[in-house]
Amino acid sequence: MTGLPIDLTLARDSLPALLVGLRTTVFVVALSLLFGLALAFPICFARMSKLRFPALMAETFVVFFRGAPVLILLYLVYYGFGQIDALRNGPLWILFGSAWGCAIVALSLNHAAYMTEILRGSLLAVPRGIVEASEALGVSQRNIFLHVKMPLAIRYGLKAYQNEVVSFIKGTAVVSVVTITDLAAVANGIFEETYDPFTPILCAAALYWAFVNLVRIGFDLWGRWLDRHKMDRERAPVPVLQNVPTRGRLLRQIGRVRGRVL
Amino acid sequence: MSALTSMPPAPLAVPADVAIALTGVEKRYGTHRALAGIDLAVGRGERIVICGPSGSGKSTLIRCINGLERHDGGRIVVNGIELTSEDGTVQDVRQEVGMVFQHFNLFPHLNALENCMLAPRLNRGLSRAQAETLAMKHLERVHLADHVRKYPGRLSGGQQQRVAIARALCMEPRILLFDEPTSALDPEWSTRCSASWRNWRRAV
Ligand SMILES: Nc1ncnc2c1ncn2[C@@H]1O[C@H](COP(=O)(O)OP(=O)(O)OP(=O)(O)O)[C@@H](O)[C@H]1O
Ligand SMILES: [Mg+2]
Repeated sequence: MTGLPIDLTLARDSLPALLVGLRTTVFVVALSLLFGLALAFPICFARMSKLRFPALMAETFVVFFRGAPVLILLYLVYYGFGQIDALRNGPLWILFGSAWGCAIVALSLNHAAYMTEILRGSLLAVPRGIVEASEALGVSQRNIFLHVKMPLAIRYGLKAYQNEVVSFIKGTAVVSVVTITDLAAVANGIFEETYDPFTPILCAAALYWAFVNLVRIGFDLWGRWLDRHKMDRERAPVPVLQNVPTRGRLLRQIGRVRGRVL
Repeated sequence: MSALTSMPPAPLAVPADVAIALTGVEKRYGTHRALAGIDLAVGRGERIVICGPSGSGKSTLIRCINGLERHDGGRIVVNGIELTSEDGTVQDVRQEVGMVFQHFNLFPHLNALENCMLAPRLNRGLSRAQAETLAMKHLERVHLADHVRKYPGRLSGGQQQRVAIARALCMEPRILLFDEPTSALDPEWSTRCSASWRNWRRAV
């Protein structure tokens, strides 16, 4: 197997450990996405509020946490907060005393800052007239948000959300600096034991790739389900390979499409 | 308005058979006066048509009547409820007033049937089945029974407008406001609509 940068035996032997690392990465991602999103809603409402003070606070939050590199944020939370006596003796130490607590807090804050902007953009994209139509029907503001604004905003923002999630997943590799043995940390550990510079890193990369693409496929399916109302207008004559339309059928189809437009 | 909010105004004497009463209604956009002292009284069961050139304020007037636009002066009383700056009154008025928009504004993510079912389910707490029966009744009335599962993007302009009409009727409002009611309908449908509106006991 010379010539290949990968040692297949090592790859096979380290797979179980890498999978444990992947599981840790999945947990870190899931928890931070959950808390980040939950945090993004109130911050977004504050950001869009007509009241100056909450809007300013929310904007400051977004500017700060979008600008701050996660790595530095993690160092600050994990190593910096321990220097503050009041915090170390307070109840929040349960959270900030553990690597996991710090990692989830730092990542969630970062994700929340990005999600606030995505959410705001999507909500602003909902046409004013459609909101007015709901108001004219006497629907309450709360129900307009739940049944009209959010369903539309999700459709407008799905692509941006998907991009954020995908780059966020890859960014979670930084948690290894606070002693969490995620996928990247496991790969690095194997490198330090074997001095094989390629095998563990490439295997980890393959697992990240698989994870990210699974998420992407999930988003695609979700998006397609949401867009089912556009389905047969934009993708009307789906060319199925086993059933290629004959010229006559094709012409009839074109005729039908035309007829509908006219 | 500020003088009015600081001291509750005396209730306007509106006869019981008047559905909509406007006195001296003003609406300004910046320096532009879109509505300049409009007086109007529409009786129950009365149908009126407001005509005017483009940009003369027809849409603005209609939008003031159901509180989509706050009037800057004068008073508006709808079914005995005066529109004030309190949110509650706007909500009360909207339960009485249905509206069909110039640009329809259907919910793009819901099909024709669901467009009509949303408000009855949310506002009046109807079950899915009840709301569906109600929506079907009104969609049949505008001859859309064959298109109820279609999404707005797949309906023609006239069909969209008829869905918008059915959607407004599903709230069974006592007053119906139409902004350009037949702009997207062909002449045959226009006459058919005006004929059927003549049979309905509705104002405006
Ligand atoms: N939100 C707004 N901001 C500023 N000006 C506005 C606004 N809405 C309407 N106007 C102005 O108010 C005037 C009346 O508008 P309106 O939409 O009521 O006209 P309309 O009579 O319904 O016209 P059309 O027949 O073309 O629909 C117009 O001159 C318009 O430019
Ligand atoms: Mg108009």
